[in-house]
Amino acid sequence: MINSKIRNFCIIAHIDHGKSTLADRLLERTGTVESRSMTKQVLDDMDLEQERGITIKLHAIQMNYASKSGEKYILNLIDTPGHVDFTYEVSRSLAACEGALLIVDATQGIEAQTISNLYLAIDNGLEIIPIINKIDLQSAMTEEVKDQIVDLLGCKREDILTASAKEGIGTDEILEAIISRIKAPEIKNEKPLRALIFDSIFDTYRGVIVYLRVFDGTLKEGDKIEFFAAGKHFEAEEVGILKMERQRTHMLESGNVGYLIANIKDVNDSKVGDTIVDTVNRASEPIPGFKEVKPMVFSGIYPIASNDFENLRESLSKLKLNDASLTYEPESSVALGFGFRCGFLGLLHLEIVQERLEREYDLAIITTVPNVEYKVYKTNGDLILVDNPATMPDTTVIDRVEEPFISSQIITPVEFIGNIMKLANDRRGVFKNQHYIDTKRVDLNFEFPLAEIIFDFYDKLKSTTRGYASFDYDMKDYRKADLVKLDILLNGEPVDALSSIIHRDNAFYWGKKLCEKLRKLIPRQMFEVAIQAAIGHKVIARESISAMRKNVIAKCYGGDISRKRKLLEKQKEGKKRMKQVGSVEIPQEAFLAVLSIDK
Amino acid sequence: MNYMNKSGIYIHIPFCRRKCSYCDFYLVTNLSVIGKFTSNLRNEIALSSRFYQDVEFDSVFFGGGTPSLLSVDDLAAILKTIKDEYRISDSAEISIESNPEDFTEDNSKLPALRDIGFNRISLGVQSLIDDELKFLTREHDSDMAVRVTQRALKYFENLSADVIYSLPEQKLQSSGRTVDKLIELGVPHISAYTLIFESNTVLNKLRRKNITLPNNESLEAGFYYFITEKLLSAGYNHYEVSNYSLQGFESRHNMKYWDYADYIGFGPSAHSLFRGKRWNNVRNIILYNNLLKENRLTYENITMLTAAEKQNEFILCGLRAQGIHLLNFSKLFGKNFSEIFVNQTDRYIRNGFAEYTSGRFRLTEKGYLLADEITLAFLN
Repeated sequence: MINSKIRNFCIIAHIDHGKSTLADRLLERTGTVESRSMTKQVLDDMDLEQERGITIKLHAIQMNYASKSGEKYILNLIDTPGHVDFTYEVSRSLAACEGALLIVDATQGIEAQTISNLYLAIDNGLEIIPIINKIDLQSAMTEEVKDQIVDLLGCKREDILTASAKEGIGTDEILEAIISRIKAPEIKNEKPLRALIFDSIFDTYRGVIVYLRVFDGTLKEGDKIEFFAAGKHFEAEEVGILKMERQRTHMLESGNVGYLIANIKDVNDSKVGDTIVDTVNRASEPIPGFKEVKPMVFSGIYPIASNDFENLRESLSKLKLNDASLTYEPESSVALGFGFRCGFLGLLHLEIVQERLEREYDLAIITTVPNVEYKVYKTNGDLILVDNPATMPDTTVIDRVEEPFISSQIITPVEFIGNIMKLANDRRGVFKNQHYIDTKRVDLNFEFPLAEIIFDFYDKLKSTTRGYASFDYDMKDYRKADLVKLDILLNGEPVDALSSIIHRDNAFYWGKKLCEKLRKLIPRQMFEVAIQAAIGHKVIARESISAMRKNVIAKCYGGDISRKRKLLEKQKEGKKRMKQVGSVEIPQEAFLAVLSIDK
Repeated sequence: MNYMNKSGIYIHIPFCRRKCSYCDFYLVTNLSVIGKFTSNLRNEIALSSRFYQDVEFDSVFFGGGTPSLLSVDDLAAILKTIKDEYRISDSAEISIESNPEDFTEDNSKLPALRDIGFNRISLGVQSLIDDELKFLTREHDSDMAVRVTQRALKYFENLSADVIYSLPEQKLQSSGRTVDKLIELGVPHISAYTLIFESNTVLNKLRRKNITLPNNESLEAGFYYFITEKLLSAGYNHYEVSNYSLQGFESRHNMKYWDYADYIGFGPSAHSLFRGKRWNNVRNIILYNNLLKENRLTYENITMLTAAEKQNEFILCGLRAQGIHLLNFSKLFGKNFSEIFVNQTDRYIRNGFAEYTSGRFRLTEKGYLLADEITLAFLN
C-alpha cells in the first residue's frame, strides 16, 4: 500500500548556495511559519551554526501543503549537516527520505562539497530534484549550470527547476515537484514496528527526544519498545509530529516522520541509525546501515585556572546531553594539571565544542594537539590503546604500534589530479584506484593514516583544488607503522601536553618546524628559554627565545603611579590567560602550534 | 597614610618658554599670566592649609614646567606662603627644577634662590653633546650647561642633573661622555632617563610618521648598563630605576613617591596622595585661575584607594626604588610580605633579580631593568 499523501525529503547544497533560505520559503509558503515571525533562517538555531553556515545538528519539520490539484499533502523536511565529520549522520538522515532537493548556485555552479552528499543520496535510492538557485542575480550562469547538472545526474534538461529563494521565485514549482516526483513512502502498517532514529536532542524536563522515521508498523503511545543496537527497553510516553513546535498525535504511522519521548535519560541510548522495534511483536531485523559512531580524534581540554575543573566537567556533561558523539574522561597532565581527554568525530567537531565551551560556558580552556587512537602491542604481549601521546609507553617495552587507516574518496575535476597526488604523497597516502565519472571529473581512491588527515587535510585539499574537490572517508583498518613519540622540552623539562606521535620519516622536519613555531608563539621571558624537540633522549631540533632585556618605564613620579598601577593590573589579567609550565609562561595558542605547521 | 615619613609638598609651575619635543608635562608658553597664576597658587596653598594642620612636611619641591622662569620675588612669595601656612621642618629639603638658560653669567639668580630658602637645585642638562641637545629641542648648548653647572655647585652643594639617553642614532660612547663630564664636575645626583616616546608629544608624531624611531629593547638595555656601570664605579648609589646619587644626596622628595609617603600638590595638574586618597588638580591653567579666583579648590579624580590597590601601588613603587620595606608592608597591610610572596621572591632571588637586604626586598641591577615585569608577579 502507498500513502500518497506523505513526502519525505531533504535538501543537499553547498554552503551559501541557499539551503536555509529555500527552507524558509517552503515554511512560509506552506503556512508553517509566519514570515514576520521568522528569524532569518529557521532551521539553524544555534548561533554557531549560523555563523559558520553549517548545519551541525539535524532537525526536521512537517509542512501541510495543498497542491494545485487541490489535494492535501504532508511534507517532512529533514535537515542535514554538511561536513565530512558528520557523513554518517547525513547518511542516516538521507535514509529517512525518499527524495532530495539538490540546490546549485546559479553564479557558482556545482561545487564539489555537494557531490559526496549527492552520491550518498543516490546510494540511498533517493529521487533527486535539481534546482538552480539565485537565478535573479546578474552574474547567474543558469544555462551553463544546467549543462553541469545534466552531466552529473544524467537527467533531462527540462527536469531542472530554477528559483530565487531570496525573492521567492520558483517556490510553488518546487513544492509541486516534491509531490509529483518524489515517491510516496511505502505503507506497511501491518508489519512489526521498525523506526529509524536519525537524530535526538535532550530536553531538561522530558529527557531525550528522539527524531525518527517510521518504516514499518505504527508507533503508539504506551507501546513497549526496544532500541535495537542499544539493547534498551522503553515505553513510548508521547508520540507526535514536528511542526515549529512538537505536536502530539499519540501515534505515528508507517511512512511518517516525528518524535518520541520515552523517559530516556541518556542520550547514548538513542543512537543515530538505530532501529526502534516493538518488544512484543518484534521485528527480526533492524533497518540496515547502523554504525556505532566512535570518536576518531582525541584531544585534551584543560581549564586555564585549575579551579575551573568542576565547571569544565559540568559544561562538558551539558554539551554531551545533546551530542552523543562527544566523549570525555578525566585525565591529568604534568604541564596542565587536571582536565579531560575528549573524543570527537573530527576536527570541526572539536572546534565547535571548544568554541561552545568558551562562548556559551565562558570558560578559559586550553586544547591540546588532537591525535588519533593507536594500538600499542607491548613486548609482553599486552595490547593497549593510546589516545594521548603522554601515555605512550617507553620505546623499550613496545613491540609494535598500529595506527588507524581510512579509505577515502576524493572527487575532483581532472586538472587537479597532479596536485592531489602530491598532497596525498605528503600525507603518506596510498593510491588505490581511480574512476572517471565523466570527461571532466574523476573519483580517486586513497588510503590514508587517519592521523595525517585530521589536522588540516581538508583545508589543504580545498586550496590545492580551488575548492573543487570533495572528500569523504570511512574507517578501514589498523596498520603497523614506524611511529615515534616526539617530545618538546622547555628549558630541559618535557612538556607532556606538547608531545605528539608522528611517523619517524617526518620527525626531523616536524620537530624543527614545531620548535620554530613555538619560538614565535611563546613570549619572551625573564630568562632565556630553550626549546628542544626530542625522540627519547635524542634531541633532534633546538631553538631558543632570548631573555627579555628591558621592561621598565624610565619615569614614575607622583602623577604616574595610579596610571601605572592600572596598566600593570591590566597586563596581569592578560597573563592569567597563559599557562605556567615550570617557570615558563605559555600562551594557549602554543598548545595548538602543531596544527599550523605546513607539512 | 603617614606611617613613618613626614610628608611632601609639590608645587607645579606650568610655564616654559617653549615645549620640548619629548615633554608631556602640563605646561603653557604664555608667560603673561605668571603674575595672576602666582597669586592664585598662593591662594590655593593658603586655602588648603586647614586640612594639614597636624602634618609635618620635610620636603618642598618646585617642579614644572620651569620654576626657574619665575622671578625671585614670586618664588620667595610662594615659599613664604608655604612656610607661613604649613609646618615645615627646619631641615626640610627645598628643591627647584631649573633650566641652564635661566642662569646666564650676569644673572644673580643662583645665589638669590639660595638666599630665599632653596637648598637643592635640579638642572635640566639632558646632554652635553650639542647635536643631541638640538635633537631634544633644548635651548642651551653644552658649554652653557657646563658653565651653569659649575656656578650652581658653588651655591648648591645638593645639585641634580637630568640626563636623557638612548636617543635614536646615539652612540654608546656619546651617552658616556655626558655622564663622565657630570661626574667630573662633581654633580652629586643624576637622574638619567632613557628617551620615552610619550603620546601627545612632537616626538611621538615623528615616530608615527616613521621619521624618528625608538631604540629597540636590547639596545636600550645596553645603554642602561653602560651608564649605570659608569655611575656605580664612580661611587654613586643606584637608588631608583633612573636615579643615582652620592651617599646622602638621594632626592628626599622623590623618595616620598617610592616609599609611599603622603604628598600634596599645588598648581594645575599637580597630584596628591594623602591618607589613602588620590586626587589631582585640573590640568588647565585658565580653569585653575578662574576657580581659585572664587576661592574654590580644583580637585579632580578623587579616588579612595582600596586595600588591594594600595598594596599594588606600594609594591610597584617599592620595587622601582630601594625595595619593599618589610616592616612598613606589614604595618600597612597586616600581612607578612615574605610569607605571602614566598614563591615569587624565591624565584627572583634564585635567578639574581632580587635580594633581601637591610629589611627590604629589593631588586638588583639586573632586576631593575625588568621591574615592570617583576611587579606583575606581585600584583593582586
